[in-house]
Amino acid sequence: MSSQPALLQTSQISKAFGPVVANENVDFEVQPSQIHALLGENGAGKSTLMKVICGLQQPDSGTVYWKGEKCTIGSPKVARAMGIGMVHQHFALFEGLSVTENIAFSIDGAVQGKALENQIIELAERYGLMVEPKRPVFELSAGERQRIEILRALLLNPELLILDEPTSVLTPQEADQLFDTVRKLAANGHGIVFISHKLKEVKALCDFATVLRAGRVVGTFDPREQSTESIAELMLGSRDISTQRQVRHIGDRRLQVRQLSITDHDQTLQVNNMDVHAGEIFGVAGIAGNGQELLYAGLSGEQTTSDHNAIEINGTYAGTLGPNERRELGAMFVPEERLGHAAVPQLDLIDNVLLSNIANKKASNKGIVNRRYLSRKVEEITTLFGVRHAGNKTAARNLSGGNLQKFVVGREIIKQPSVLIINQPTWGVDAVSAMNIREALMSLAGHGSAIIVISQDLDELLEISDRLAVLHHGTLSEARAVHDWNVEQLGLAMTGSTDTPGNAAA
Amino acid sequence: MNPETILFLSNLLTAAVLLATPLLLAALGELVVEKSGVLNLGVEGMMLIGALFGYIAAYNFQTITCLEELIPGMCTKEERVFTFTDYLLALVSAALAGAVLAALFGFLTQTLRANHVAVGLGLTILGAGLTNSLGSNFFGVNYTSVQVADHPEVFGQDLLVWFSLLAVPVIWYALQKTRMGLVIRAVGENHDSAYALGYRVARIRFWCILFGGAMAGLAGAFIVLVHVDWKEGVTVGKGWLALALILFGTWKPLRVLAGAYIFGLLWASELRLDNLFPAYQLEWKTMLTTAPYIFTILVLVIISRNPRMIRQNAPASLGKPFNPPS
Repeated sequence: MSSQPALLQTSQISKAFGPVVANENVDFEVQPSQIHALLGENGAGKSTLMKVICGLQQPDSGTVYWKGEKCTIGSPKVARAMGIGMVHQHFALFEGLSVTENIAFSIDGAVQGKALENQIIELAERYGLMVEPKRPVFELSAGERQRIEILRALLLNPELLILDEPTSVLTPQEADQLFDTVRKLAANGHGIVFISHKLKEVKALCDFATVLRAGRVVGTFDPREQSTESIAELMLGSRDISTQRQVRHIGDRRLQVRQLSITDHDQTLQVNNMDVHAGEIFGVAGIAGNGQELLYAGLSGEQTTSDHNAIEINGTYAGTLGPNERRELGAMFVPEERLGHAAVPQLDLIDNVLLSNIANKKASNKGIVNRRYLSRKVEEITTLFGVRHAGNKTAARNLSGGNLQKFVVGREIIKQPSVLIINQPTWGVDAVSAMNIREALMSLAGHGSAIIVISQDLDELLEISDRLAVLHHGTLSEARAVHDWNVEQLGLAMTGSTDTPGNAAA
Repeated sequence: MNPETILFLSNLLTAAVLLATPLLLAALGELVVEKSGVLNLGVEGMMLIGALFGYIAAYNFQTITCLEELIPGMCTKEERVFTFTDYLLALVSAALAGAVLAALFGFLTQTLRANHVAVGLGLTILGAGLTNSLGSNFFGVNYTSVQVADHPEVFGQDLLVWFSLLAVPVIWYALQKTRMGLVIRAVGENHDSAYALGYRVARIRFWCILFGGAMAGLAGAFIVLVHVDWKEGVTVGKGWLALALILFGTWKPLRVLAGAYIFGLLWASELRLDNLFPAYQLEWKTMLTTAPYIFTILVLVIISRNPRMIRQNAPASLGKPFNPPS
């Protein structure tokens, strides 16, 4: 080691949550004035490592050194006092309070009122973080809110600043401004940890990178000297893209999407061309926050488009139709959020089955609900999918995550839908339940349904999909048969590093 | 202006002050409670308990000297002296009584995390029942024998009138300009974030609830010590109107003040106009009695069309249960 000790160094950090190993012997080192990228897929262990550094979590084993001295970071307060600041991905701001009040609240009471306001303005000018101190937060854009978070962290004079996926909520212009700020901070001697998925940004901004995969450090290098391809491959690792799979009979076209574009607040979705056929599982890969929610909403009819012909379900145009009308055309939907979206937490299982069966005459005829029929359906779903529950009248919220997920997936699968659209089918579900759900989806496709699976779990998609497209920044790429993709291309598409994202040319 | 008009106006204003002051006191207390994110619908109950205990205290603190005792052991002519100190002690008793009932609310909603609305409604029912039974125990069924003498005024008005007016800028300043106020508003705005930043949400709210209870107790005491004598249900729904007043004033102390006096004037007019327009008595009365409620509804309709107004002033966590992550 050089004569000057690293600002922060972790040595052999391990942290497990039950059987899940989040960090395994992680060595990580940040120097003063360094912009250090921390790379990895969802669930690679980045957040856990940062939580350990911020004092939010204690490692099972391993040591943290701060400026060469061994230390224990017992709480976020200790971390802040040491000089570690963090800007979270999701802002913890008070909407009804002004910018100054938000900042005043989170730092200790030494500076108040006008003095604080001046300090904020001074800091903001020095680092190009334009804010209006008196405005209430609810009026501000994501970029402005992030600047408040950064200012809040900077007012505590941190020597190490951690930015957790700071650009995920920013427009490209706002991101450029942020990079200027980060460079200025580094020039002033601050160490920066920059967590990101976007390799282009990392190559442009960072002078060092550590890559985590499955909780382990798999590489440290200068990102400017590495090709995007090699970094992407390092992040994703060598995946088995198996060609051995049960051959399903691909039938007629069930879902067709042409030039679908939807805008919701500052998010946009663009799907130029997407066809899904009977007997086919169509996978949509992508890193979280790239428009998966909007794609699901657009396909399910929760977000309609003005172009009626943009979506065709079983030969009928459906662009302007809502979810129930699309259900009548034979499409069924399973959203990502189990509680509150797929199922009403307070209602029992019987009522929750009714909710996605309103159009079913057997379930409700002329407004009279047939609870006996629905109860039989609950029995059927729970038996078939091994849902553990304490009776048909259990409230949905009392089921564990995995069991509820099996329930809401099963609820749609037993209808043998012509088209099934499912978002994050196994998110937060234990391994066995996840396997059951994947098998159920494959068997449904085997029976001739057309299935669209939107997932962040690349392994899952590679396992079950016939064809795969990548969603990046709201745009869906062209779809290719799974065995026509290689890991490198997938990584590039998912991190937006490819210049041929659209399928307009295809 | 002829002397009659002047007299009429001065009577009207005096009556308005009498009606507005308890509203203002109770509403200011509840405003702080709501700013911290707690919805306490038990204002009416806390006012009643404050009124009863204020009255009992006043009755006990006043000095009764017997001037004439024709039959031994039975006073036929007496003098009652109720000094300013006695009055202050009665007010403290009323505030404490209100705060004790509020503490029950705080324990149930903050410690045991019960539903604010249910506990608040229960508190009003409890307050009414408790004061009815305690009151008849203490005073007997016939209250007329129990009277509290008048107490000294300050600059021609009751002390509580000045106190309530002074409380408006003080509470505004405390909420907007001090760190304590910032903490209260932050807790009411987003209790999860406040908790994550290390603030003790339940404790902060508990203090606010106690303050609200004390203010409601004072409001009750004002009614029975200044305006009318104690009787069952003496607050006649003023606690509910105080709750409406906060919405009317969009959680701003100064607007609450304006609202309290507008309501007070409307009610006072209702009482006075009988004499001026006897022919329209019933119609006027009905209209003016309902006016505060109609006004509140109108204001709510108007402000709910302006989402910015709501976002900026209404505490976002108002009445929402807070379950700290364990």
